[in-house]
Amino acid sequence: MEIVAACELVAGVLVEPLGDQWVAFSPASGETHLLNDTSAAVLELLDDTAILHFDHACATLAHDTGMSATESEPLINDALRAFVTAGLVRVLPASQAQGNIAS
Amino acid sequence: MIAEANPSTPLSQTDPGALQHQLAARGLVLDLGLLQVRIRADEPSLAVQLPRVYRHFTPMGQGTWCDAHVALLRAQGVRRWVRPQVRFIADSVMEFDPFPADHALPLLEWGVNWLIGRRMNDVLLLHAGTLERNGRALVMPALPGSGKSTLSAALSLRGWRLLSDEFGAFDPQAGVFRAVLKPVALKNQSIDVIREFEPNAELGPSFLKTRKGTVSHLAPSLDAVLRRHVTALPGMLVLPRWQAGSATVLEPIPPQVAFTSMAFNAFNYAVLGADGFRAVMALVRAMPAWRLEYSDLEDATARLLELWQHSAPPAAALAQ
Repeated sequence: MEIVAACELVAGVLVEPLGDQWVAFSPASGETHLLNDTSAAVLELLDDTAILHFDHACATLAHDTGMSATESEPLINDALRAFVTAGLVRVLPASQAQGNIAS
Repeated sequence: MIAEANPSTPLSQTDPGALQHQLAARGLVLDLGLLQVRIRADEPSLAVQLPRVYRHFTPMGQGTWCDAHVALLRAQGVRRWVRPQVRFIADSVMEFDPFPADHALPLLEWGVNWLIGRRMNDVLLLHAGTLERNGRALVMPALPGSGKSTLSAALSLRGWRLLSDEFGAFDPQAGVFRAVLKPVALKNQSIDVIREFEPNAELGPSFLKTRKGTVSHLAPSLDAVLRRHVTALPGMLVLPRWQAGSATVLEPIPPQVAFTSMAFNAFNYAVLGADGFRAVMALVRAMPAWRLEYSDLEDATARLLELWQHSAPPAAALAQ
C-alpha cells in the first residue's frame, strides 16, 4: 500500500473530545465522524502547523508507546487514509512535504 | 359583512362562522413562538377543528409578518363531490398528496411541521420533545414510536411547560431553547393512555385511518401559550423509550451517545454545517444525559421530576 508521506489538516476541520472518544467535523464533506482513541492519537501527532509527516509520526508513536516500526507504520497509514477519505486531512504533494521537512 | 375573529379573543371563544370566513378570506395568523404562520382554508371543518386544539391562542393582526403561508383547499373536479379531499399548499405549491376533507387538521399539522423542519435554519432543530421547568429545558430526542410525544404530553399535564413535542429549537447565538408551540400529536394507544392519565386533558377530535393510524391532538395549556416567547436554558437530555411491562429505568449515558442522539436525529444538522456541530457540542457539555425506559407513565413522570430536582444544573449557573 502506498504510504501517505505527509498530510495536513483540512482548513476548518473541528475536532473535540467527547467522553472516551473524539468527534471531528469536516466542512469539506459536511460529515461528522466519531474517532476512537487510536485515530485520535494519530490526529494529535499533527504539528503546530497542522501538518503530519509520516516518518516523524511513526517515530513519535514508537517513542511514546514502545511500538516497533512494523506495528506503528500500518496503523498510522491506515488512519491517515481514513482521514483523507473522511475529508479531515489532505495529502501534501511531495515537493511541499519535503519543503516543510526542510523548514 | 361577516366580522373576522377578534384578535383579543381566544380561538376557543371565537364564533365558528367568523373564523370560517377569516380562513377563507385573508387567513388566520397564529404565533407559534419560533415562527408565525398564516393559514387560509376553504374547508369548513377546519374552522371547527382548529379552535379545539389551538383553543388558547389568539389570532394575530393581519399586518403581522409571517414566516410561512399555508392553505388547505378543497380538491377540484369530481373530488369536490365524491369523497371530497383537501390539499396542503405552501407558498402556492402543493407539497403532499391530498387528504380526506374531514382530515384537514392532521394535514395542517403535518404540513406545518414539514415546513418548519425545512425552513427554520436560524436555529438547530432537534427532533425532540422539549419542555421547560424553572427556566431550563428538558430535551427528549427520539425516533418515532419511542413514546416522546406521549411523555411530552404527560409532562405538560404535570406542571412542565410544553415548548414542543416535535422540535428542540436551540438558538445557538443566545444559547437557549425556543418554543415551537403546537398541539401534541398523539397516535393510536397513546390517546387513551393520556385520557386515562389526565381525564381533563384538552384533546381534540380523533381522526381515524390516517397514515399513522388514529390521531388526536392535545391542546397546549394556557400558560404554555402565554409564555411561548419565554426561552429556556439547556437543562437535561433524556432519551425515552417506551417498553411494554418495563420497570422505570433511568441510567446515565456517555456523551458520545448524547451527541449522536442529537446530531444524527436533527432536522437541519447537516444544513448548519460547522455551526450545527458547535451547537450540538455546546449542548452535550451543558446537559447531563440520561436514558429512560418505562411503561408506567405516572411513575416515569415522577421519576423524571425527582431526577430533575437532583441532577439538572440550576438555571442561574448556566446563565453565567
